[in-house]
Amino acid sequence: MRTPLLIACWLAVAVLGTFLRFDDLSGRPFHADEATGARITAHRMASTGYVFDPVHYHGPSLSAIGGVGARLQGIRTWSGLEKSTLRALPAIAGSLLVLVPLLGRRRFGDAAMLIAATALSTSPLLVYYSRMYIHEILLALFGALALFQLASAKRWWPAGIWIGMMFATKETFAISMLAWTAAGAVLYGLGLIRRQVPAPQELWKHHGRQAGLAVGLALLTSLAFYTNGFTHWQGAVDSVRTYFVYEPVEGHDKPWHYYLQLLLAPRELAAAWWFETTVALPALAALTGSLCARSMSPATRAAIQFLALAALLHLLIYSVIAYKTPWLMVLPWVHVCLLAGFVVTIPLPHRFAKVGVAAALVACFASQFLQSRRATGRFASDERNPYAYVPTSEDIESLPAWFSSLDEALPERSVEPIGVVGDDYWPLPWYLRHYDQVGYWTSPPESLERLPLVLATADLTTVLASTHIPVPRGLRTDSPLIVWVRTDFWDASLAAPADE
Amino acid sequence: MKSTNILGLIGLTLALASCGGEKDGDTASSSSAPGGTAGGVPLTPELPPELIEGTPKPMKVPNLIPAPKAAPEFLVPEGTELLSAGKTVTSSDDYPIIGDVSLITDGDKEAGEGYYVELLDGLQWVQIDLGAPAEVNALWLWHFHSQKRAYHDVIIQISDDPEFKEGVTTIYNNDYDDSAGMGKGTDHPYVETRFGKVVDGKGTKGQYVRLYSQGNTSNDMNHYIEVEVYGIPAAE
Repeated sequence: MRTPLLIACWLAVAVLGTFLRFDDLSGRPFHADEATGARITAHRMASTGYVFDPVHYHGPSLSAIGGVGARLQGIRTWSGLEKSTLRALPAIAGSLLVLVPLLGRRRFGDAAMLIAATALSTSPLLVYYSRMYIHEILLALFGALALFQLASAKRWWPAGIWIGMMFATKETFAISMLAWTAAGAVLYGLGLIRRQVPAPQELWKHHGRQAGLAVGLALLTSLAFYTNGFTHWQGAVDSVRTYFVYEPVEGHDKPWHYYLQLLLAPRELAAAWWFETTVALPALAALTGSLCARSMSPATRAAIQFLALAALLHLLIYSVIAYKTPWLMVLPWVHVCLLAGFVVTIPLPHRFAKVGVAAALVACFASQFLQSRRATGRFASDERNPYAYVPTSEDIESLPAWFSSLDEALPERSVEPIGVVGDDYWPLPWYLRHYDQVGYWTSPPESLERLPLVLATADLTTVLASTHIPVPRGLRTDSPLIVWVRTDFWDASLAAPADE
Repeated sequence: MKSTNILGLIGLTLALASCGGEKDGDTASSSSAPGGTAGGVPLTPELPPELIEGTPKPMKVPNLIPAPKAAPEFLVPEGTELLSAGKTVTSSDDYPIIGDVSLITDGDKEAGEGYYVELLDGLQWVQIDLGAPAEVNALWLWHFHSQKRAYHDVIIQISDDPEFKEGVTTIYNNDYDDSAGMGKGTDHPYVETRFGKVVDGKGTKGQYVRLYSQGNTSNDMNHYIEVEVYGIPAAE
């Protein structure tokens, strides 16, 4: 391929990926997990300093890097944070992820890496979670960087840095380590049987030093984050303790085939079709090609088979674990997207076949693009969007403005303190962050009826029916919220003239 | 983990006992408002903070307000009949996302796929042409009741003008914050149930009934399962 055309193609893929990740980034309501992530980030930015809770927190890299991003924009407080500020981090990470295949150009060829980048760029799963302030896309970026570094035959030890970053991002990095190690071991074992790889002693002689260096770098990198720059050594202990004490919230158990259905089974939801089968098919073709085609280079063949096996092992491990959420598939799906790129390395008999493959790929990416736009547009926070897991209701976005209008309706009184009563109230704290006095209780405290506003995820009829008006509002899909408005504020609000 | 923060409780009690939510410098009181110390200074108590937890459960919540156990009883003048069955329905959304507006007057009130119409997000309306002027005594409405959700800005109007520009009577309006821009309503918002919502038609005369809504507590879309208009046909 000619250089100017090549550059244009890479630029186009980068622009496409960036557009899908940044367009209307603030539009979707804040997810409960984004809100907790934002709260942790704000805690770190505040004078209260660094805390790593091994029972409830994922790795510290998100809040560390997110906090730096906020400070660069001059934001230092919880109330000063904005969705766009925080979501810029995953959007940047997701955009960089698209460009990671650039690192494999020399080894695997431009065509394969361009196709892989396009698959990464347009995947609705990856696009959706590149617009969400949670850990997954950072984990995927560091994972992809580690994969390409490991694929570099000579100097692969810097992969330790990326693996350390994975550890600092989320404890589930251990699953990837397990899948990668097992995939590597299986392929190495097969190579030994076929006498295609050096013996273990020989391997250790050539790579032992690099392996030690990589492990050291991984530990050092992760320690730097967990100990907050080597100042909070309890973080190092807790980074291991978290594997034994982490408390996943109940209610997320799903059948073993959940991920297969999510990604591979086409479904019609809200009069639209959702599927990523079109990427799985070229990935499967690439694997088949690596098993059948004789003219394929050994490096390409090894990469394809490693990616396929690693993806399969990720899928198996995550499927065996009862706790399932769609974002856990982000890193495994990166493997599939990379694998799909290798479809162009299969030797094809004649020109028509090549044109056919090219046309199929164009159709595949067009379909992915449209699904991504739909998933992040009209259905961004709709339960029928397969990627919108426990989505926050759009309704919540207008809550602060309504509270302001209630406040203005009765100028001589304040709507504070605001009470929140019940469980599972996130992301409410995000939407109430501009109020100084907000109390959170699991059951109604004494004198609750004197609060001007009480937001309840529990039935407070017996407590508040005589003093407040119940107004149903949306919190999350299928989880409404009752805002109890004290009658003086309610009456004043109705009597106040409507805004012009 | 979720136990009440004792310090916070004490703080809240102090706050409530002292100022009752009054803004700085306020000394006014009213019968509907809690009392406070006139001329007192506001306390700034320490309230229990939010607790950081994992992803919330993707499951239905218990009732947040008591759900009705039976359909409401509503009395209408003798001779009142169902006027809307099979009548023509139009809407502000020419191409509904799911279903068809004819489902609104087909008599089926189930909440499953194939029984409801989904209109676009934003303020949308459906309009029933009763075929002839009538005295409307009641309107029974089902938006979507398989989830505990409430629809926003439910406004119901009756008119003889199909454009709803003249002679419009509003019989129900629960747009408490005027987000629909049609004036504030004093009717209370409600959570959907299979028993639907019955609205007093107040004997309002008109041939057309228009129902507005603007999204719901689960998503931004607008849904209708069935609307039944009861009344007495106007004399020829």
